[in-house]
Amino acid sequence: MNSTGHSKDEARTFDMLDSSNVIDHAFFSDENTNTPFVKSTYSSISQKEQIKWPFMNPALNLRETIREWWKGIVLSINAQENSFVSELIDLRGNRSIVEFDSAFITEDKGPIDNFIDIGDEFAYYVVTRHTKMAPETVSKIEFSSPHIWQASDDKKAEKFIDTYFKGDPDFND
Amino acid sequence: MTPILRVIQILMTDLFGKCPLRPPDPDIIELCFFGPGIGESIVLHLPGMGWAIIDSCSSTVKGKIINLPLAYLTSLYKGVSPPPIAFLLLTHPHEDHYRHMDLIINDYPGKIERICYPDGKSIRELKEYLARARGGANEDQLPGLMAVFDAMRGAWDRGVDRRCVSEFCDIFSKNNVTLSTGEKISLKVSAIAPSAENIEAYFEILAKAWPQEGKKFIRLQERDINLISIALIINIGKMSIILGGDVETSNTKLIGWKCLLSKNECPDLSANIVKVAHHGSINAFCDASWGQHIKNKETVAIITPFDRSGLPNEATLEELKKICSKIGITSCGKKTIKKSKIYSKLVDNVTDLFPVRSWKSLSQDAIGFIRLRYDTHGEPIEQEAYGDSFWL
Repeated sequence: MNSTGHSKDEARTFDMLDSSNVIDHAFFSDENTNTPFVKSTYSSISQKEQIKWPFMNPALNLRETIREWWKGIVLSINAQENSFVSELIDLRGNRSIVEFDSAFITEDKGPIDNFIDIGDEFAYYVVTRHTKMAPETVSKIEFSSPHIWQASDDKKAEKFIDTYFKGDPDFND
Repeated sequence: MTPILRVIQILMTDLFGKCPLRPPDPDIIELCFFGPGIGESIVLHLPGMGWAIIDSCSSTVKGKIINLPLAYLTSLYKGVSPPPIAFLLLTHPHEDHYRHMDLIINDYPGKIERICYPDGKSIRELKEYLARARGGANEDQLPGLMAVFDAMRGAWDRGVDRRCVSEFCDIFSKNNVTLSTGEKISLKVSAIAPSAENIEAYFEILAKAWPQEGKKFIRLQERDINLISIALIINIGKMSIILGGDVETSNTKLIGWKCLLSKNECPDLSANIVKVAHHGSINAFCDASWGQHIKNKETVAIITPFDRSGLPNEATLEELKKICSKIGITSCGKKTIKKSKIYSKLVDNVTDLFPVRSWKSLSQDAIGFIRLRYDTHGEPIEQEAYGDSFWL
């Protein structure tokens, strides 16, 4: 065990990872990823390797450090001006009202409200890319893809309702 | 004392500044309007009833989240046993109205006798929709609302009375309230919204957003929730008070205020005090209903701003200036601060570039509140704006 209480193996894993990045394991377990590619790539490798793989490219030695991170929510969309206004909240709870150029989301020439809706949530962050060249600091935005409702979602929802609202008088009236 | 209440006691002085924290005499009507820029809550004291809280809002003070109505009531009764709350009412499930209501339900040291919320049918379907969003699409829509529903369920398990409210439903009434002078008055708190038509309209919107196999999961537009907002009328002695919630109106559809006015059962809407509906938006301003509010009365209007949407609307303010004797605004709005004062130079520089077109960083909540105290004849005893609130 080292001074941080981790074993050598664990410490090495953390070193190789950029600690500011988080991978959503649920993504890999989702039924949407049941493609032959994903199956053949991930089924035979260990969990530790799964964590390392997406962020490390030894050939480029590319690594990113997040400088600042905000959770955003779309407040209004101005399709004519090709922009949208959002509220951003950082990790310290500071709030900002920010107008973004919608070209940041897609290069598609269609109306922006085809892609985003009022109330959509997104992540906006400023990262420094460490490359073999000089580091560069850029901003990034990430929206989620729309969720396509599946028959299995109905079952998951029913199960959630049965457990969460068990005994709720609104459901018994 | 719970940790939350300990924090409240410590920060009490910062919050309430110069406000004398003495409970009103039992014969006095008190309304305390909180509205820190996002959210609103009204603490109400009526002779013969005691205290009630309508909606919930919170502010961040020195990094701590403080539920304002809870902090105010516990501060009034510091060191003595807190009085019961006759009713806690959620006008509608919008974040700026339910924010941290679970703290009131779970942490108020006195008894809460009744919890009211909009008609059960609309809430039941909304609950099911939210559960589908969470359970099926893994989306947490209306964040924090599930915690409020959880707290309510716990309260009902403890025997708290539950009341689903719609148009013309009584929330509290008492005849023959005897004042200390021996005078007898009557008291009635009842709902004037949401109407059956509004609930039906909301129902249709929910049905359209209901998830369908193979189709994109549609987010519920929060604005539609205003359709089921409760509005209250309070008649006590010679006083009448209207608390407009977020009830809106429409020129084309028979909803909100216009729907109410079209009905034979519509009560006399003249009022000494009006909590302006929907933060003073133009969609909530109804000429016909205001014509009734100001009839025979000198009306005091109170507005709880909603900074994010730039409310109150200028046109609404101009109209209200013409017809009201006094207009109180519960917050001077969030002040902006330079982005460079919050973030490093590197971050500041990057966020000045494409794709950012404009960036307005908001400072901490502007905390203030307006307290009105009246006797039952409608004579004002106190009309004070504390902290960052002000009279227009």
